[in-house]
Amino acid sequence: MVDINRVMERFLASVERRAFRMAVIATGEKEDALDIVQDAMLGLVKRYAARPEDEWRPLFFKILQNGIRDWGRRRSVRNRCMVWLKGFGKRESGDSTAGRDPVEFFADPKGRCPAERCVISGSMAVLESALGDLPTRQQQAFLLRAWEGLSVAETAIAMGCSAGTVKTLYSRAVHELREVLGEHWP
Amino acid sequence: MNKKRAEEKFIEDAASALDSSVEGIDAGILSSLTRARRRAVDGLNGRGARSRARFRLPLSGLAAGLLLVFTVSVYFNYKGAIRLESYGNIEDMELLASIEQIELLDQLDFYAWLINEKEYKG
Repeated sequence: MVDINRVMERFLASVERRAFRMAVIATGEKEDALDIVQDAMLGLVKRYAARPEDEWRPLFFKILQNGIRDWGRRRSVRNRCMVWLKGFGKRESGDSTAGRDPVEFFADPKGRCPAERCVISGSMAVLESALGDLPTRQQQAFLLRAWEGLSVAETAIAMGCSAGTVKTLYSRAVHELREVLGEHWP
Repeated sequence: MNKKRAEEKFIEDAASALDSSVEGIDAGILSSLTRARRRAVDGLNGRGARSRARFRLPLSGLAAGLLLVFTVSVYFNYKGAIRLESYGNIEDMELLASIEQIELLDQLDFYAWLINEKEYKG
């Protein structure tokens, strides 16, 4: 008999890091990203654990993307209130590294030389910045299709839209990113 | 065809850069993710998994409630103390005001003698 706990734990372990990075790219806040990922894990277990395992991935990312969207709405309401209350809508954060690529501050477990690390972290910082500038839906479509490797149909489930919309969003995202990053990236 | 190949190469490079960023996630974050995963999996066994974010509101509500109860109890204890103190003061005032009783105590020997006299005569 298959141990559902072990299967679920293995699945969550396989997606958690990418989910966290997606949430960080979308929110720019590590703590908020952790909350969003945890809520997605709990949501999947609570609502969809009984579904077949091959459906978990799009469903997990659907919950994650909803969490990111909710975070964006809450943030925009908060920013509007801040504008009214303080006369400015600065992004607030106690973390002085907020908005910068967190990877810059971590040790490289592969032991790459500084030049290689510089190229990788530099290209990632540029990519992350370009991704951060994309409209949220395009960003989601790109990350789910290009990075997570979801099919068009799975991405449509995750994003709660039609397959045609996914194709359009993805195509625009790729075009926009290539425009911004240029021919010679990375 | 060349354009399509260039686009594929771009997507591969982007995915590779994103993979590298995942490899560099620090130990603190990984530990938080592991805890979050365990909590979620515990939910399968009905061990009541709760989100960190969802704990915050009830906890702050509980803290505010406790503070309110504490403030109210301190307020009423203070008022009660004042009231008791004031009762004490009133009793003192009554005692001080009852001059007759004090005079009775002063002339206690006289009254004792008077009673003895009455008994002797009677």
